[in-house]
Amino acid sequence: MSNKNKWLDYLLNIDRKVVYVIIFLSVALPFFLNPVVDIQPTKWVSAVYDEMEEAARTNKPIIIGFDYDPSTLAELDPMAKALLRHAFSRNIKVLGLNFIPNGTSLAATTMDDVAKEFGKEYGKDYVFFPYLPQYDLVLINFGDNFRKSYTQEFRGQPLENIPMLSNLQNYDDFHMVIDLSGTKLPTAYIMYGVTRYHFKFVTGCTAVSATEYFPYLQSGQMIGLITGMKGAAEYEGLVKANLNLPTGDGMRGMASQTWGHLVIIIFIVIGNILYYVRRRMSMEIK
Amino acid sequence: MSHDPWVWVAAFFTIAIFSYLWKENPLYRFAEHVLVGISVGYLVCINWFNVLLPKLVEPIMNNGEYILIIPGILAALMLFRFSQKIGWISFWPLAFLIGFSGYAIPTVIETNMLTQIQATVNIPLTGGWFEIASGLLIIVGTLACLVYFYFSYPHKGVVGKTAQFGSMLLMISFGASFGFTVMARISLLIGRVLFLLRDWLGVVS
Amino acid sequence: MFFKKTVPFIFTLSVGIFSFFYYFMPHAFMQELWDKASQWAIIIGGGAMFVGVISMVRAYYKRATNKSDPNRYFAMLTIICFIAMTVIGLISGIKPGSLFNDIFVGIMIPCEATMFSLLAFYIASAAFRSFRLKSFSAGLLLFSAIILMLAQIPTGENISPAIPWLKGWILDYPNVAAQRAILIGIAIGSVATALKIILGIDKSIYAGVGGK
Repeated sequence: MSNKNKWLDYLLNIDRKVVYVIIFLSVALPFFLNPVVDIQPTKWVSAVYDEMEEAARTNKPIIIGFDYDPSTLAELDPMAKALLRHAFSRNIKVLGLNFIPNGTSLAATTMDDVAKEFGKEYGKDYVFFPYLPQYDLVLINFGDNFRKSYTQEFRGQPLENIPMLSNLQNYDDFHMVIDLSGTKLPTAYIMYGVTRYHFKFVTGCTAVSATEYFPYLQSGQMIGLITGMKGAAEYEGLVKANLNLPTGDGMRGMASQTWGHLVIIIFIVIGNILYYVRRRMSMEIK
Repeated sequence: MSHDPWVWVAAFFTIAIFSYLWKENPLYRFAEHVLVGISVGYLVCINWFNVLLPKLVEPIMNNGEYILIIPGILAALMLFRFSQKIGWISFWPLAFLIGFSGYAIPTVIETNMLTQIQATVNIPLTGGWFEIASGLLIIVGTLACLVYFYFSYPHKGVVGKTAQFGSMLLMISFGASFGFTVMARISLLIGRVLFLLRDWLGVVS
Repeated sequence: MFFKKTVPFIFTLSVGIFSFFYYFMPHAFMQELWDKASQWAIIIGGGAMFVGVISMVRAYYKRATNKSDPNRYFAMLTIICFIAMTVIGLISGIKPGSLFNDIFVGIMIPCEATMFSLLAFYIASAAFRSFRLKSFSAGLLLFSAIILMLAQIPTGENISPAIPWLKGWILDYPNVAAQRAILIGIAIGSVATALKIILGIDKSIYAGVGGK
């Protein structure tokens, strides 16, 4: 009995470094095994895909808000790249916005890298607007004319010199707005944009903040939602299946995601079993 | 293995931060302090090139829009925050910015209250019994959760039972949130491990 | 007292009332005034960042010059890195391909991303040590969490198609009810707070200056 107690105590108070090693291996090993992963898209991710196809049919540009920084890079950058690849492969012009100062260079680099894959030209096929503070005021003014807030694009050229922007003025000239963010910015887009100007709005968010956007989906204020790395993998899967474009880091990470989740579930189950066995033994002793 | 020196620098800082898992050490502290310094320098440059230069300096110097000197002065007044005697001057530009929350009042009411209430009331209670029950769950559930948050009346009797039902729905929602949080955290680790294994060491494709 | 409390209150009240009425009155006159005011607000917002910068530099300078602080050399390193990054940025520019951007990609991205990736280890440790099924509410929370975690991975779909279906149902129905109530509650609270600040009932925001 005392041996059993010792083992229970040891397992319940196991050194956290052992736990760290297990979780690290559960994430790292699948990269070497490279298993095939099949992901079924959810209805909200499919809605985003369909809306992007509609943008290609109507030949209208889209806005993508790259409102993330390095702390949420792993979840949102694969999403951004999948959306950009889809847009550029269908010759949809993209206007990039940014309201997170720590992510400005990240967004500019992502747009340039993906545009290079498709031979897209800056100023003609895509353009990136610089960071501005007071995002609420910028979003409100964008509905009237974005030139009220922006006088030049990120590289310093005046907006009059950008061919892509010559016939564009406000949200009405774009097919939809997508915001990729781990902050409360998608809510701001709805409050200061959708409520007043009624455009089609999609969010790509980190998994942490996903649950709070479902009321907006149900009310129709948002028409699609891509959640975390799995959402990115779903979108990459749709783009690969329909347009034969290569998948990215979203799909690449799903095997590790699987093992990581299973390890966490096993930890929760084992932790609870050990806790209840220990408690039962203590009650028996009493 | 990568030949790009910046990838090696990135790998060094990644491993330095990961070393914190073993214990707090000088390598981690080095990386942490470099990050703080570089982040602040980064913010200064982004603000200068994206905000102050195109919206304040160039309009004044090139276009003669001298009225913009006023917001420039107001922005500078914020620096008085560090003075004990005349720090109250910094509240003037702050008060100007806070005033714009006046626009948020009707916006929040329309977006997060009226439209949400409308969507709740307009739920179509059609289809099979399960669809109808699910729709009713949203209507009754929203009310129950609101009752749970109402603390001006004791949670006893019918009110207590309603609040209890609301708390059950909140637990389900927070559980969903926790499940998503696990995915989010694992995703962040996957990003770094993929960088180390693929971009730095080149041992995976 | 007039300049300390009354002048800021007049600013907040006038801009607040103007912004409130702008929502309902898209008049040309209101629009012109709004355009000017929002342009000024963006400039002031851009300048506000320097308050944080100076605060940081003051704090680290104090640590760097304090001979008894064990981290004084690290504090000096922070200030040197700040000056170096600012000078490099101002000289080389911020566009992709510049040295400024290389430092961002080589140092800032890995440091920030890795700091947040440490959370995966902490959540694993917490899952083992802390998540205990002690009550019915905790059971509901854990059940919902495990369904979500399984549904997010292909294993969940392989175990049973009911798992992803259940996940979708949980998110579209009970979750919507709970989150909607939270949204409405927060909306009521934020409207009340905004009204209190604009009408000058709550003046606590105009406090705490000096900084040491």
